[in-house]
Amino acid sequence: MIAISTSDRDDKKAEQLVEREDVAPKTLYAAISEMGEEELHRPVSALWFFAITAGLAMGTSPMLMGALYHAGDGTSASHLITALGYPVGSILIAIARLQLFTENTLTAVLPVTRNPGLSSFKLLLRLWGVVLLGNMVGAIIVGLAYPAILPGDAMGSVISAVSKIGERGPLENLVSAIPAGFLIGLLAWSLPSVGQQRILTVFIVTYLVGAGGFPHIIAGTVETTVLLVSGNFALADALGFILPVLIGNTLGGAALFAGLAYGQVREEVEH
Amino acid sequence: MRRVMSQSTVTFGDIFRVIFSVILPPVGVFLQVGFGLHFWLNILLTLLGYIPGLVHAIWIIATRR
Repeated sequence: MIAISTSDRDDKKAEQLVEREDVAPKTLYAAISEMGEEELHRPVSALWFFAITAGLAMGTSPMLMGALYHAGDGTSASHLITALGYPVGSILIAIARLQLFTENTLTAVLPVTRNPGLSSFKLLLRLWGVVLLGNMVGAIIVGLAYPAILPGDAMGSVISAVSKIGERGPLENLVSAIPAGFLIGLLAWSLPSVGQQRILTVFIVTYLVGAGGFPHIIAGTVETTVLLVSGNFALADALGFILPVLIGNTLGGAALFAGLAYGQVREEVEH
Repeated sequence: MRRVMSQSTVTFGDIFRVIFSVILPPVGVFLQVGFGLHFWLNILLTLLGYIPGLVHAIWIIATRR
């Protein structure tokens, strides 16, 4: 607390500042926990609808990446330009408040940690299962539709833009998927506190994911499906990408959640 | 004084147990409470799809001494 203050008003202001600094993370935690609680109790039909739509929305990313790849082809910064297309799907999902695996699903883990029990575990698994499956279904549908909705040369650019996902082995995929899960989880954590800068925040974080080449399961499913239908991927390649990325994303998100939840529960136990 | 004490209860041991829990939840629980009911319960919860096991492990580590 500031010892010297010239007037009552200054005193009050300083007090408010001290109070706010102290309270902000707790308030944020409470807000996210409450959001998570709401997610847990949403009807399955609504979850399905929002999850499939999110998968479809994610399909816009490779489209824009293909166009940008075409525009930036041959330049030294080509991959940075191509990655500018990566955030578009996540921005749409954030604006429309759709359900994305490792994003909203992560917030729901917080209230469950406070009161673990079989019924809350059931709700949690339901949420994770429905959102993951819905996202994948949406991503596969849009991936399958690519050859029908894109002209041949645009399809060629999309394939070139996304084909880098086939360069890594399964273990490398798993390891590089961990930061993606962590960062997308961090996004879910930051969104309630950024207010007006919502879109900018989503852009910065997901651009980092895209430019860093950290694979995310849902965007990755669209990319994998495109490579499958165009004959660039065999089924074994697809599974060697999807499964390790799913595990890596979950581990990254889990690490973020574990730190936050531990800190909070510990604090509550002590006071 | 009380505040200093409560801060010191977040130990390096806890941090390691949290990290182990992320990789394999029953390991974190074992390091906190040993082979007990919660250890076996945690294996069961982990088999149910990892996340329940992780939540249980974090809860055990955060609330038990």
